[in-house]
Amino acid sequence: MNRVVRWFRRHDTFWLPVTSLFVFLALWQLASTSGIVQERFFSSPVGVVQAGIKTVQDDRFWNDVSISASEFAVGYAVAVVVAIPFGVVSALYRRLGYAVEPFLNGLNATPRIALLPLIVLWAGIGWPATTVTVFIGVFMPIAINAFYAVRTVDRGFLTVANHFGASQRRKLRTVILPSVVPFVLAGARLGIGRGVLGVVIGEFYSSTAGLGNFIFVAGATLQIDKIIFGALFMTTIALVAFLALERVERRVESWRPDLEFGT
Amino acid sequence: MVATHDRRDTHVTTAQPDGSALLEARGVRMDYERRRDGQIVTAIEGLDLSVAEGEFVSIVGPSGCGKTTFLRIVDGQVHATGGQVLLDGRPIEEVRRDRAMVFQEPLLFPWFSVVRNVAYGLECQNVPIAEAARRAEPYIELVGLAKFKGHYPHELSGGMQQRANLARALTVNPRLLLMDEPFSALDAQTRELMQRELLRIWEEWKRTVLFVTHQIGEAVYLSDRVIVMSGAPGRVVADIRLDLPRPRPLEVKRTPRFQEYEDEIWHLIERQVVINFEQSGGGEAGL
Repeated sequence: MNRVVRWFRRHDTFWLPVTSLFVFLALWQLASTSGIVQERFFSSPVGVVQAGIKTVQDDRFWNDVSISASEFAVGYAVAVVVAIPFGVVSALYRRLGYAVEPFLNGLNATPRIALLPLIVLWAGIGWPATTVTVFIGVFMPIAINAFYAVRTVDRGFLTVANHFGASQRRKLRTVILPSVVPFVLAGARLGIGRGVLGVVIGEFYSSTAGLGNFIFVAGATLQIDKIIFGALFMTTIALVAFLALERVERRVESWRPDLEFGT
Repeated sequence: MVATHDRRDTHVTTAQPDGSALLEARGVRMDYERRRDGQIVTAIEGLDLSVAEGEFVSIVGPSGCGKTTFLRIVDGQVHATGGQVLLDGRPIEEVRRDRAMVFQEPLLFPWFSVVRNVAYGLECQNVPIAEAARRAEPYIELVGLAKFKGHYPHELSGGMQQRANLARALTVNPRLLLMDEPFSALDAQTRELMQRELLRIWEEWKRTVLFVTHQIGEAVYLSDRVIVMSGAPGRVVADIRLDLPRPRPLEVKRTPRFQEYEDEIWHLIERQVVINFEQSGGGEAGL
């Protein structure tokens, strides 16, 4: 008895989420089969699984997946590579920062969907437009975070570096970049959600393939289970990206102490 | 700022004009523009001071007297607006590596281990990191952190962090060590131990130290000479050579001679504090 209690106490991070998820799925299934909600509009866990099994056997689906994944991966990677130096360099030079700031905040405040017609016009319909949409979504949070991270670098650390005669390059490498890392990582986290959103928006609007298009078509033909399956699949892509990012985080932030703030 | 200032309470000013001093400040003046209202404020005016090689000299004075500013001038972080500061007979702006600062806060980079932090000064001189780390090791040992060289700063106590701060300055092997209230953030017991440690290290390492503090007992315990500065604008009002034996155990603090020095300096500062207090209309009067 005591051991059972202890097991539950120790593994609360495991069984609590699993149980809550299971209860949710059970209630959903129950509501559908009992007819409380119409299965035609709400589907059911079993229905989604069945649709999923059928879908993954279809080559066209995997074509959609690879298109969406490549849009996401290319847009995300280019955004990271461009946004970090952009944000850091703009903030390093005070006057450049003043010049860049309105664009940074202005573009961040602009709803991306409103720009989509322009993006399609300039980049070309389909893959290019969607990839650019992803790029913009990922670029903004990373660039903004990098920019303001540089601005708030601890002056004391810079005093130390100056005192010991560090060159500009060494100051960048030993003080500024390490200070910026956690902010950039936070931006990269936000960027995953924005990037996946970019895939869906871009494909809804301008594409005839990809997961967004898959969901769009399923919606137009009232295949609720396929909509839900498609959405879940996109979530999975985002989760994979999160896990990859967490590995990076653990590597570069290994020096950081654990936060102890209640349990 | 009015140019005429009161020199009645000037005791001794030992400016050795023979040029044998390691550090020589002549008529140093520091004006700066106050951000709040754009007014020109004089922080230091007519400061003369000379420090001989191997001396341990402390500067005490009421808060806002410019003692930290003076230290920053000597360090080269800011430039005096008037007068001259010579290190080994050369203007301070021209010499870079001869001094090292122990900062008030530890200011260790949290992303580097202790050894990398201590080696940072050498790294900045383009010494390869592996060699810099090797050369830092004796100093890590000297300050008693040998067991912690692989640790990160957050794993150290405040006193240990200040030891690392000190080791980082020692590692560049400076001729002049500048210390800016390095123990002010430590608790009373740790502070006493660190003072004793500093003397032990200084006796082993034998270099020149310029130490800024607001604690009179600390200045008397550590120093060969205590410089008392006036309230703003800061200048030297007394230069007291301490006749206390070395090496000094902590027990020195309880001898009558020590306490006489403390009283003497306190009376000098008290007058400055009162002047300061009246000038500022009763605002801040602390040390």
